[in-house]
Amino acid sequence: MSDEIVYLTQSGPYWDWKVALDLFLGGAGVGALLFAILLDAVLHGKYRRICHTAAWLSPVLVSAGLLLIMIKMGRPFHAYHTYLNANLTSPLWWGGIFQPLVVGGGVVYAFLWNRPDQNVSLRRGLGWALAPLTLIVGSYHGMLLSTMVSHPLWNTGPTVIAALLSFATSGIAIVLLVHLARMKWAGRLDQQDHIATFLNDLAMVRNVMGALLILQLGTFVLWWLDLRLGGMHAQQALEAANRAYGPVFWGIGIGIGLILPLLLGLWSILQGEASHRRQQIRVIATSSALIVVGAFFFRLALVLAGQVPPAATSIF
Amino acid sequence: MKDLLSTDETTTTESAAGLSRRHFLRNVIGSSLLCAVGGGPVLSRFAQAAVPGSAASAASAAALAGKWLASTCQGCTSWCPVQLKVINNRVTDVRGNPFSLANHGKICPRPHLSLQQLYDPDRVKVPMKRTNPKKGRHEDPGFVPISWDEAMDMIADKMLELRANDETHKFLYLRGRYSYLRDLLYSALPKIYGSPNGISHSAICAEAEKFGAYYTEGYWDYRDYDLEHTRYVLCWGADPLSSNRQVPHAINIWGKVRDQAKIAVIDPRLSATAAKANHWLPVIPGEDGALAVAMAHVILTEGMWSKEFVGDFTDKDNRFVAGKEVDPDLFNEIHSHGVVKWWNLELKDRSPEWAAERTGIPASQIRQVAIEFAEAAPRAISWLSPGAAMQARGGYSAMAAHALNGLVGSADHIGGTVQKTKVVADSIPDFSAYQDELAKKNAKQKKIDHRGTLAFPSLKEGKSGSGVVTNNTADAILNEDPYDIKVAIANWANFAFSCSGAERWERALTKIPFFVHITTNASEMSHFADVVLPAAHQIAEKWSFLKSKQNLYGYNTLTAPVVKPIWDVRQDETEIPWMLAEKLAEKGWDNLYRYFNDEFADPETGKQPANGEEFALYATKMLTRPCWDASHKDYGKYGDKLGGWDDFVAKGVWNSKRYECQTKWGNFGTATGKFEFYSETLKKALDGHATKNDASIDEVLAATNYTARGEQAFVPHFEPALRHGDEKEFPFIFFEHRSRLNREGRSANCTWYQAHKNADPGDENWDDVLKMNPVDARRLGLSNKDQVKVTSTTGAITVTLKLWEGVRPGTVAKCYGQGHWAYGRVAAADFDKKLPRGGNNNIILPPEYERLSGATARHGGPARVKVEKV
Amino acid sequence: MKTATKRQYSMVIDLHRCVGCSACDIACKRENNVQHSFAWSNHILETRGTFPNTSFRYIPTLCNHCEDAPCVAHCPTTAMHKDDNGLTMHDADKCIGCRACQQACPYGVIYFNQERPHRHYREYLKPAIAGCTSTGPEAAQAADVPIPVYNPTRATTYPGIRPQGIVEKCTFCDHRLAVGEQPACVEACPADARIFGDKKDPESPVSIALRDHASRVLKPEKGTRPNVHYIRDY
Repeated sequence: MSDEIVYLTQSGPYWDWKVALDLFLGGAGVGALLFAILLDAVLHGKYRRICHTAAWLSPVLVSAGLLLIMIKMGRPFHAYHTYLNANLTSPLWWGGIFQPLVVGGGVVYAFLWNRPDQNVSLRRGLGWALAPLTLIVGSYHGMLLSTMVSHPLWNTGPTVIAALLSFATSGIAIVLLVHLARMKWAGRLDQQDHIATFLNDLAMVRNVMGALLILQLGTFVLWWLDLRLGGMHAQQALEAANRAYGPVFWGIGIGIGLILPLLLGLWSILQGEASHRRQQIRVIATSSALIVVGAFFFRLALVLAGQVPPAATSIF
Repeated sequence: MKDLLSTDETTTTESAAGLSRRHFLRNVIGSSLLCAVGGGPVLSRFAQAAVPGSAASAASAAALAGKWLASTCQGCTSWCPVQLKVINNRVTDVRGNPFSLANHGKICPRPHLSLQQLYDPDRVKVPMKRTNPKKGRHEDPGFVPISWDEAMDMIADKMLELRANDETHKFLYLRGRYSYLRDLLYSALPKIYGSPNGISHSAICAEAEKFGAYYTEGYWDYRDYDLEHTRYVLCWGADPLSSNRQVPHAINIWGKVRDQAKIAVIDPRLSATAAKANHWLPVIPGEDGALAVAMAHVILTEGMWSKEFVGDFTDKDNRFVAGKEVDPDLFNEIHSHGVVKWWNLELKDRSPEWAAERTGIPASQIRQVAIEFAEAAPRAISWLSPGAAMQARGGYSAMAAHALNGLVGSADHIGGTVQKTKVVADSIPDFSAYQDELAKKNAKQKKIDHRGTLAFPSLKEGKSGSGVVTNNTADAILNEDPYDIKVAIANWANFAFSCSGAERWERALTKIPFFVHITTNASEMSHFADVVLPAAHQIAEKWSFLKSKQNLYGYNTLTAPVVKPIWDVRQDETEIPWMLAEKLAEKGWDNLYRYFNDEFADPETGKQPANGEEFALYATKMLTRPCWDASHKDYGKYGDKLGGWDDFVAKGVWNSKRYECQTKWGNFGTATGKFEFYSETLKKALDGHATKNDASIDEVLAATNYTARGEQAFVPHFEPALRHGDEKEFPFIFFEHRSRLNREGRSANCTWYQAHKNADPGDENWDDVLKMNPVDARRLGLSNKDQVKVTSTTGAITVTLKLWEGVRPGTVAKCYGQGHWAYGRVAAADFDKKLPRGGNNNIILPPEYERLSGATARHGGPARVKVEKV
Repeated sequence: MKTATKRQYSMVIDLHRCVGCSACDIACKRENNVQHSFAWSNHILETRGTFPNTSFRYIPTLCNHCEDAPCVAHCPTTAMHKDDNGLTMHDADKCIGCRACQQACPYGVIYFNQERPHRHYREYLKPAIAGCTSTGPEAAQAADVPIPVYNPTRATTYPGIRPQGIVEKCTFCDHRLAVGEQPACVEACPADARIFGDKKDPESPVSIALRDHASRVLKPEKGTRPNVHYIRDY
């Protein structure tokens, strides 16, 4: 109490849940697109239906995110200035240029999946063209935050990696979730042989997902270490962020969104053939849902916590 | 209403956690709600930018150059010459008047706020009358607009009724902030009409401070200070960087002062000046006198008094040894009087160790500051302010603090404390010929405020009853003692807010059958008025002049109507009395009108005034003639030779010659002509008062709450602080302080005032916090931002608590200026419901007095309070 | 990103002279028609120690007009940009209100008009006393301006009042510099604590002050290279 520093500025957070949701939707959207492109390219149409789901999901998610950003903007109708002026140092400018491109390209790509046997080379060609854009947009979501020297919590390398990994996991998870819903709606979940093939095919995806989740967990540890062992400002920012959003971040974002799905996956593997197919479907659905929820709350906590002003201890 | 003033846009960097989440929700909900409110006229044509570099912007830039016109800021009593920038009949900027040698082109924050006063939407824009005959804080007056003619008609009728009934003395004029045209309303009007009751606000201002200088060096006025050459500044409650007089000069020179001098600030609160001082002495409120006599004790025992000014022992051997009497014959005194008597009667036992117990200041610090002060002398200033004087027993502490200047020879010395230069101006023409028999008789009736009675000596300039007892007027009205008041006019005053025991004024004003208030805003006092007359704002809408001093220069400075008012307002001291005089004449009594019409004329053309506006102009020209009219006998004798009236208007200020130091040595205005440590002047005054009231001096002392008896009454001495409330029930000493943003309690309706309130150390924007030491808060289980009820024996207020290390444990402090329940929709938390923003200190401060001067004792912690969470 | 500018306008704040009176803050509000809850000119308050060893400091702040301005780096439309005088300027028309600049600024000197500014003076439609006192819009119209206290010269280079939906910040009073005047906060400072000029001119008052005194900037570790320098102690 004896020391007090008061500096009254406009209160935060300047970016609220709408921005967090945009980052999440945009991330998941480009993740879904990349997922479709890679499955198509690497496994040559083994996953047609999933690819179809993913390809359609992508522009919907990305444009929903864009819409949210437009709503959040003070003067959305002046957004055209982004296209009349170039600012290469501004992640938002990159986002503003490439997200619409990904949406536009994504829509064409999705249409091509409506007839998966036709125009295959065109589709794959377009996919290869869109792939680097998805990476740009995916890393833009991290760069936007990590380049803010003002916010020590964001101003780290792992922020970018975390964003990239999150876009991959959340993209895959949301595709699986939607695809399962689609299967159920189409009644295919009642066809035993269909489920068998589906699960068989999905083993690879599950492994990739597991690896990504472990990597992501590692990134968060690195990120935490970066701040915890960082300078005074980094430590203060971490402390302030933890005080305000610790439970959301570590509990929901990491606990529910990362660790729980990993444990579920592990449990499912340990069960092996013994586990019922229906149960396996449930495990997939549940862990996907958990990953999706976790990914959103991780973004939300990151966006809001990063803006929590740390306790000031010195002026100069 | 609250939404439109929303302040949740800002937060502190240390507020961390919870807030952000709250805002997260509020932003979502809030913004959608606010969209629904919307509305308001569209004035976007102004809000659009001209394109930079275009021909249009170049042209508009030229048109926007505007003109800088001179006037004077009356935000505090520094009365700084200023210039106002006028574009299209609008004031858009303000700066110090570069022609002024006193404030040398600098201004403090106050003039900036005046623009928001000038264009305050809550200003009364037309005369209004009351339609609800019931008066009270929670009675809606039902004000409706009326014409000036109807207003004057109503007032003239009531005044003539009193004349018809031979009751003209029951007319009361209450004077608030004034100019040097004051005598038209304060003196001429009541006296020609037939009332003794021109009652000034002076006694709630600083009369006890003048008491200190008068009864030591025979000077009844504020001192000036040679900061430029000083080597030590010892502030007694003075916070020259915020308030008191010569604020901009003090601010400007403070960097230099810190380079060349040491600064010690005695103040229970860490003031703005204390924050920029070498020593902070957080004295227990009201114990300044103990500190001052202890410092005098140190200076004498250490042999550090001024040998040049005070003199020395015949054998140069210092006999001032603690506890030992001294033979006066052994001391050769030069320019002072009674140093040995002072020692024997008071100082010999006032050791720093004794004072430490009373004041809460360590003996070592008292000794150190006293020695440093004396070492720096005679270039040393003991700067007395209302804080150490306007106390229930502050007359003697004021004398003691000021006497230090005599002791070290800094009184009237370079780098010390000085008096004033001659500032030329004429007085209003003699009006006795216009007083009829009735007026002459009734103007000699007793004044309403009890001045000169046993308990209210009001010894202004040595004469019993020559000073005013402003705050006692409320009780006099309530008790109809010596008679009842039937018609009252108050001007730029707000005693229902600004006087301690403010609630009494609400009752007193309720009791007055016909009350007229001349004001800019519908204030607490207006709420009880039958007629409210909208006043022109002094800074930009009014002709008048003021005399003041800073930086060793005196000056005569004009206020000028630099813009045409946007509302139907009139100049309080000239136009309104003119219109009233016209109306009275119309109804058959023309003495006042004849005085105004016959005695006032344009000194350049000889033309008599045809209306109030001309009257204002001619009166100003007449009274300021010695500044600018080469044919006047005083022209150029004491300062600037201005080249005519137009030159005066253009420059706005007449500067005196620079003050010459040491001219008063051997020639002080006291009974002895010397600087009196044993005040023959006070002895004479007290004796006169005692004789007049058929009492002994000791009886006077008892009636005025002083503990001293006998000879001690004539020397500056220690008096224990007087407090209302039992320590057990009311554990805290409450004390108040001033704001650097207060325009005498009139600026709280400015959003800039509220949005910058934390410029007062420890205070919070948009709030009115009670500052408490964290140690006390912990003990009581109170936290920062708690709403607390502060109760004294006089009243209670509810305010926000602020934990702050800048106040002493056992004391709580709050700034004066907030707590308006009227005045406007920013000043009041809810103007319609009469809910205050914060709490007015004067609700809890008892109506206590420093009775020897008549001053209101608002300082020195007169109230004990309890603080409870609500 | 860095481009050589003709001039580099800078400010030196002498904390020894500053007395914390806030005349700068209020003058800025008046000069730039800044709504009451924003503070282009602002301050940090610091109370340290325990009674009676308590100290208090007032550190004036404003836009640092950084040479490596994060707000400029982050603006997606180049609305926030550096001009030839080294000022960090804001083109109101290009602003889309994304708040990236505000987010990027380590000093909290950028404000976003979430609401319509000056609502107190523009939207009070009911007077305190009907027929006898006015409203904000009425007072403004009587004075022929958009808000009761309004400085029309601000509108020569920037919207006189910034519209809802965009950010705003200190411009070092570029409109005053354009006509040869000092920034309003410099002019208003009764302590002469603010020294203003071109850092590239070795004879300018700021260059001299920086030569004569050791100086500091706020948050040097952010690498922004501020152009507001502080000398001596409060």
